[in-house]
Amino acid sequence: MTVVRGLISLLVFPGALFALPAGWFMMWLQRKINARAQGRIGPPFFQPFFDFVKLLAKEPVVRPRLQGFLMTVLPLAAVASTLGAIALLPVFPKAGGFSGDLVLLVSLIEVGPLCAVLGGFVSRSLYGGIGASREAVLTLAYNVPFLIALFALVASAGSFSLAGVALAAAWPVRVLALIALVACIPVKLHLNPFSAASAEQEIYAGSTTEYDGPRLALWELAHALEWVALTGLVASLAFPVADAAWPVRVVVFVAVSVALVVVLSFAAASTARLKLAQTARWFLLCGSGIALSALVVAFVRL
Amino acid sequence: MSPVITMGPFHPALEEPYKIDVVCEGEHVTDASIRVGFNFRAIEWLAERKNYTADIALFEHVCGICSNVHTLCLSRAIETLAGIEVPERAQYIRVVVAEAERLHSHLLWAGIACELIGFETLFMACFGLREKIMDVLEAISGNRVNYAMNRPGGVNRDIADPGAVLAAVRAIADATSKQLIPVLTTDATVRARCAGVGVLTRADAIAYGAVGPTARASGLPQDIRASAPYEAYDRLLFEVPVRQEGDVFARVVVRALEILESCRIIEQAIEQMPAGPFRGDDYPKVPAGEVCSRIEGPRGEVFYYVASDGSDTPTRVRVRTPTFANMPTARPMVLGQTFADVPLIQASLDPCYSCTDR
Amino acid sequence: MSLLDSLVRTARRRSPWLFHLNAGSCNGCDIELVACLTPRYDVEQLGIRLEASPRHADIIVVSGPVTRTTLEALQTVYAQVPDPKVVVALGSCPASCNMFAGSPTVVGPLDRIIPVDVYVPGCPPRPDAIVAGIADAVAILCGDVPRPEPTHVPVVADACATGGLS
Repeated sequence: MTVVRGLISLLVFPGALFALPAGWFMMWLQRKINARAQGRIGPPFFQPFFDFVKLLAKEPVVRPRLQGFLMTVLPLAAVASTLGAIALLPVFPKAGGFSGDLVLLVSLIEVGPLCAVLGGFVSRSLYGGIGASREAVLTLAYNVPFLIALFALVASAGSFSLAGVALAAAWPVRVLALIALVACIPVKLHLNPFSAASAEQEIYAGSTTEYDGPRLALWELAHALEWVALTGLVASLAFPVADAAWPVRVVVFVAVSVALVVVLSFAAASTARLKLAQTARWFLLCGSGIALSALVVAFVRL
Repeated sequence: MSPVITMGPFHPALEEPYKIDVVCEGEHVTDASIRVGFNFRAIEWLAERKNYTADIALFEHVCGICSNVHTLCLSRAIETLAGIEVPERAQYIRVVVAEAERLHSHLLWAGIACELIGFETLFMACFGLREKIMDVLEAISGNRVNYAMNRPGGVNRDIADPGAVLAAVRAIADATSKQLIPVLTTDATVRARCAGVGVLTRADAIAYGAVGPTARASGLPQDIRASAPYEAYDRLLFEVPVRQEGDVFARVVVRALEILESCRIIEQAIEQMPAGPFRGDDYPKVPAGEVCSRIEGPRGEVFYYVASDGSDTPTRVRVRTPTFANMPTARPMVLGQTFADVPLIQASLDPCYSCTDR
Repeated sequence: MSLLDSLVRTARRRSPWLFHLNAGSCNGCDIELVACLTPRYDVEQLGIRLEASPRHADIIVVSGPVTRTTLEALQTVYAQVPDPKVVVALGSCPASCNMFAGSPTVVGPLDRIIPVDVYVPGCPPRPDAIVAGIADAVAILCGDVPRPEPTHVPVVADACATGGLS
């Protein structure tokens, strides 16, 4: 039974069958909101899908065998791990999960940026390297508030399982921790003001500069899935009602995710890009401050 | 060993091909040099082989952004050599077109600067505003870029509908003072990227011979329009904005204020413009001699030297563009800054390497 | 099979990514290309994007008469763009060298260096003409229109050494 359920959450909901269109929809929504905020019409609805198909149909550049292998495997690993993370999301907390799946989720979410860092370095491009090192610095920086916030939730719920956290964490802790988590999302998705890792005007396309055709398509896919994984993580933790029917859960999950995309897109459209050091400082001071306050509240309550 | 990062010749931050070699320690810049010459089309060499009429069209293509200042400066040089007067109406039309060009150039620059700090929304706002002045330029000259307005002895086209120009300019002044300047000066992320970045001290500005808005943002109140007025500038009231800080933010503010001043100048010029002819009847014959001519372009002082042997072809035309003077100041500006600031700092000069290379 | 084929064709039609390359242009064409991205023309609604890396591009937009100093970089970038690719010559300069014809430092026109598929004439072309030119390029890219025969046999790298192409 658990195997079937696991397969369903990996392949159907919230996994591949749901997550792929949802990811493309979120990418489209972000570009559309960005365009509307700028007084433009913006891309057509199927744009991210067509971008993906077109890239997949391009002829890849011939590369040395090991480099070509790595440049294919790394984005694939990013796609696979992000999909795994999505499958673990506690959309239906009652359905179970296992103790410690939160740790697994965090590590799966981290595989994506890690692959991007490695992918930037193996592409042997100067700009890919700079993008990769920026990505690495930012990953270190935002992980401080990210992990503290999750730990605050764990401390408050007294459980290392996602289902337990989703249901049992106390409200003040939950709100503070979720604010900290939301602040971390723009870095992972390379959105303003924390988009230093993909600053087009400085380092071309960052770590994906040298990727072409199908290999780039895989990065785009991983990026789309990251949208679902990260907004979904916040959305699934934001609805702690134990006995809601499953359609209600699905609707709330989707609605909160989309609302998050809207908020993040408007924030991105109305800010400039902060520099690497400024971004890192923000996360180590402000981001961690919020997360630490969540932790303090969690322990005071205990 | 410190890595040398080469930006260019084709780089998303650079509209034009040139290279910047940046030596970095981590993200900190320890040295930088600019390599130019990618746009070298030997225009001065070609000019010595074409007649004056063809040269006007040729120098229009020194640069597509500030094309008008080049033809204006060359026309003035030829007029001085030939000793001809420009009708008063033509002088005002030249002022209107020159200031309209300054508007479009400054708005373009503001847009590019916003793009470089990743503020795409403001980039779009600047370019949306810029389309208004492009419409004005198109209505006056018939082309959006490369206006072909100036000729020795006057201008090629009259301003048919001054009211439309006035309305567009007022709309731009309004949007600039109510939207653009407040956002640029108060947005926290813009300040974080611009304030205190890429400082050029007053002493350095003098030592390097900086011109135009770059010099004015470092506390040097120099402007050819005010200090050696040409055309109708001596009959128009305007101020020369000067800031003391010398950082990127000061250069943003100076150019934003210049947008407002240009709008003022155009309004006055349109209102004062007398009736009458807008060009001389005959194309002048250029006697032997040599002459210098300088005017204030959007980027600073443009200098032309023309030598003639009395034939219909100049023997030498020398162009010194504002970017040529400003370019070396990029080095003291970027030293000690972070790599992320390099595109913004070099762009804050409003460089035009197409002008510089010729 | 044919379904997949038509999907790929539609995707290529709906998602052309550009790489812009300035080979000694006067900036006129370049700022008009930038103007295409801005609210009035907004080419993003056609799926067009200006990409930073040549590796991501489908269409190479070249402006300028090709100066000697940009020749090598031009050829490098052309080789870096993965197939299928289309070259658009933006403005009169890459088409004919315009008023820079005869200059000792200009090695153009562009079709002597790389094969050109679409010409957008004008000095500079208006943004609407640029969008129309890109639409022509997209038609070639997705196979709706056959690729035109190359006008010249491209002459390659020794152009610098021999002092320009006559």
